[in-house]
Amino acid sequence: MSVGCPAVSVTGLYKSFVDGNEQVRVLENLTFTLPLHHSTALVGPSGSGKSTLINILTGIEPPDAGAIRLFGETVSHSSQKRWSQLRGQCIATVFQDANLMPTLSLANNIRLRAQLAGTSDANAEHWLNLLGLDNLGHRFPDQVSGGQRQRAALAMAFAMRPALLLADEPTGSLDVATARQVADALFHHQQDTGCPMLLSTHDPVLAARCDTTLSLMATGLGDP
Amino acid sequence: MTLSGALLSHYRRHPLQFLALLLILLIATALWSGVWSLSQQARASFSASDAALAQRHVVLRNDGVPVGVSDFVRLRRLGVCVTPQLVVERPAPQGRLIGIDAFSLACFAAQSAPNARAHPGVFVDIGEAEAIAGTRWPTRLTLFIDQTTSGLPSDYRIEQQPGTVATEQLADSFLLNLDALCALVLLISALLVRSVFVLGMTQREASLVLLQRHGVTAQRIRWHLVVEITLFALLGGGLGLVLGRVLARGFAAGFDQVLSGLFSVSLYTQTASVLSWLAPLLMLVIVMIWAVADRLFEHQPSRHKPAQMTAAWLTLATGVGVVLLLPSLTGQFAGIALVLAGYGWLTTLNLPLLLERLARRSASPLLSWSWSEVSAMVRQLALPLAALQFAAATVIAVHALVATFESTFYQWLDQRLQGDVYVQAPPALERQTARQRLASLASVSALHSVLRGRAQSRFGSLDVMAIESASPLLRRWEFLSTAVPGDTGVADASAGTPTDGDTVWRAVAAGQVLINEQLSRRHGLAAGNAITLTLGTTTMTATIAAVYADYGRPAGEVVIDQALWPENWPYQSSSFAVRLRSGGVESFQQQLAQAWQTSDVKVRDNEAIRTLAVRIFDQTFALTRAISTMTLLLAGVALLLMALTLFASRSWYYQLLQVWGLSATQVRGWLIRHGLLLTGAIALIALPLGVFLTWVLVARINPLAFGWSLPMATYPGFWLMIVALSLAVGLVLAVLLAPQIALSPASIRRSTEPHHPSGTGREKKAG
Ligand SMILES: Nc1ncnc2c1ncn2[C@@H]1O[C@H](COP(=O)(O)OP(=O)(O)OP(=O)(O)O)[C@@H](O)[C@H]1O
Ligand SMILES: [Mg+2]
Repeated sequence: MSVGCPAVSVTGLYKSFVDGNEQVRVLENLTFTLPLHHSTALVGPSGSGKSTLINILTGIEPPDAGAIRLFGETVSHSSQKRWSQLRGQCIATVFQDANLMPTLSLANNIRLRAQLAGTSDANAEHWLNLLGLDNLGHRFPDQVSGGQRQRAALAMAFAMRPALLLADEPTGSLDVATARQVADALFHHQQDTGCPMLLSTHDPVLAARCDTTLSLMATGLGDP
Repeated sequence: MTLSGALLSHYRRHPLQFLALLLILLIATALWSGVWSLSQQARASFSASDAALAQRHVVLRNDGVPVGVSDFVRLRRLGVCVTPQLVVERPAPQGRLIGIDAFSLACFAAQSAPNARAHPGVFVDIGEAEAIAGTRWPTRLTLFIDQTTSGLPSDYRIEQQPGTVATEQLADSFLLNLDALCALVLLISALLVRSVFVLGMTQREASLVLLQRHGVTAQRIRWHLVVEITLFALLGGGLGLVLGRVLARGFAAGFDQVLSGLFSVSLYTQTASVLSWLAPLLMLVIVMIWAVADRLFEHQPSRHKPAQMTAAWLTLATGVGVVLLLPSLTGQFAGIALVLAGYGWLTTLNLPLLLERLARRSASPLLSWSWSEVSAMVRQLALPLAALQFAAATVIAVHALVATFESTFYQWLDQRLQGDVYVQAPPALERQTARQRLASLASVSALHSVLRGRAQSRFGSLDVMAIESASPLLRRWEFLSTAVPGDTGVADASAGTPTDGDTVWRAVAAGQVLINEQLSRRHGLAAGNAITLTLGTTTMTATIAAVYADYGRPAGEVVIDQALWPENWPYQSSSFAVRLRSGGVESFQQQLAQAWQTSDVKVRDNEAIRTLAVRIFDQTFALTRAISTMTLLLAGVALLLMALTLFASRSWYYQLLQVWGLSATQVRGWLIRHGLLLTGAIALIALPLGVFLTWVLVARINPLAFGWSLPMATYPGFWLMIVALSLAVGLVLAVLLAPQIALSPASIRRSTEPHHPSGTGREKKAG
């Protein structure tokens, strides 16, 4: 990982799925960079491949072709072991839902994420307070609201001190007001730490708050 | 889409679950109905043989000579209503054959006459039986007499057929044991059915709520669910019943040997009637409805923990109380059922609490997650785990009982069978003469003569065995308790020493008597008490010197010195136990035939007797063992199937760990640990229950059923095996679940996008 390189640099990325007899081309010759200290909105109609791209950037879905560099390191052909390390220590991922272990308290969820990242000084209370979840650390995920749950998920992501934050519709299942709180937390963190962020969303207001926008086109129709 | 279509679409999307449910129902029903059909057959066999032996009073000669054909002819001529029965003892595969005479049966009261046609192959005409036996197999002739008949000459007497009453008790307790096993299998089946249903309800909660929101009444949904579960019962249960019949037929051969070996009853194979099919099916439906009733009629189960905990403790305490206080077999079995239920309930309530405490206590968040995850699994799989626990405890108890009985019985047999061979005294020769000639043989190193008869006492008629108390062949007898001064009562049979025995035998030589454990327990007689016996016309009162173990039959028995045998009292049998100095049994037999001047010397060697006794008990317990092992298997398979379908709601959390940087191998490692912990803990918790069950079997049920108790023994080696077996189940569990924890884009979409079309069944998180 070298300083000064862009957080993510993708060139000529291809991804398609076979659905029955049809080949669905989702990502075609995609090239982009995510600069350091920037937030990027990932937008596009449903089915345009936003989640697929995030899965590729976390090593969960292999690309068909193309080069991916994370902080200068070429990871397109990295082993699963390397990807596990990257996911554990560098890349924080926030999903739309189910980001927490239901059997652990919010505080313990944060501690667990920090433990896996190897961050020794995990002060769960600090991160909870930062996200306005004061005194909720002992609660279990099913004992707090959806917005609080999502903020706890952010606290977990922040606690691991990520080098890159990938969020796939983090506010997708929240009402407007709650979504705004969660978004505020994301952008505050981004401004405070300068952690580069890729934020997939359907919400134009949220997309507008990002520094740049990466648009995926609906390629949809595949070859017979 | 219709309502049923909507409800059933669940199984279209989860075909594995559909098969799992069907398979659990099928195996459970098969096992249960198999055992049930066997016990029904046994019951029918016992009642059939009861009818055949209704004329249980037999004629004996006062001079002690066994009755023969000439006696039958003589009595018939005198107009006495007697009928002969010739028992032919054929070796194993063919088994016992009973010859009867239909003609002479005519004089018996109608309902007490045996119906030979009802038992083809078991009862045959006496002439046929004689022809079959020829000289190849030993035969025994018995003359049954109608008690109401008169005119019996004075040199004959009537006696109740020895052992009849006792056999009835033994048969009853045997049936009770079968019934208890049957009930256990039914209990486990009910638990599994319930878990299957609860699973279906939980998984479809979302769609049920949706249906209600669309205006379908709860009432209608419930009715559909009732129809659905009934269909399941009919399909899985019906197939299971057929399989159960096949299973019962497979067992029937061994079972038949048990019956004929222990009770002289042949398995009465019923032709399947409509009722015999309907009854178990009806039972099945009732059990299914019972198993799911509360979930069916009340949408949410009561989650009031403290009340449940109290109820569970109460159930357990009541069960223990019943076992300790109720001196009846039915009471014991009811107590056991309560203990099982209470213990299983407590386990499934407390194990998660314990695991959650461990989760709170552990400093490492990952470890904390691990404990709490297992706790969630235990909650989810509570019912199949409880079933596994019951099965494991039962297997442990049955094994301990069988193993203890085997070792105790063999040890006892060794003490008793001190001679190398046994010979029946020749009827033609005077007893003392026979004894002297036998003793003078070169190949005889020691001998002991035994007389048998039946004495009267205020406890009814008792078997009497008269021995020579000075014989070296009695030195190894061990006593359960003694009252001879200078002797310490020995409670444990294995702790007895020859010195103890010597003083006891001196007391017997001086006129005291010994009684067996059955007699002692049944009538509260202890060493040191006095007992009054009437031997023919002689009445005597003697002190009981000691109580000995007697695992042969349940009948009461008294041992006296031969000096006490009245001169004029005929014996029923006279035999000798002989220790051989040299040469084989063959040459001994030849020498003896010469000395006794008879060609008819029947020598039974020790080994043969031992083999016979061992075989009978092996057969009895092979069945019990097989059934309990299959129950364990059923519980294991059910747990696997349930886990396989239920794990879908937990698999995401193992994937989340991979999103957070653990490798697939590491997460699989956790899954394996969880599987092992789950089943290992259940097996460990089942151990005390197994020990308790063992204790109830040997110390409570055995004395009630058979008249004797067994020393309480535990078999840690076998426990290890059960724990290892459980761990193996846990390992298989982990291996089967492993594909579900593979991190994939599809599972991410399913789990993290709440409105994804296939995103069903994710559990509303447990606290
Ligand atoms: N395993 C697969 N097999 C076939 N098609 C797939 C598979 N995975 C994804 N797709 C298809 O790829 C396309 C992109 O899916 P993706 O989930 O990335 O879209 P998205 O932009 O995240 O949509 P949304 O905004 O609805 O979340 C879709 O058309 C989807 O059907
Ligand atoms: Mg998406």
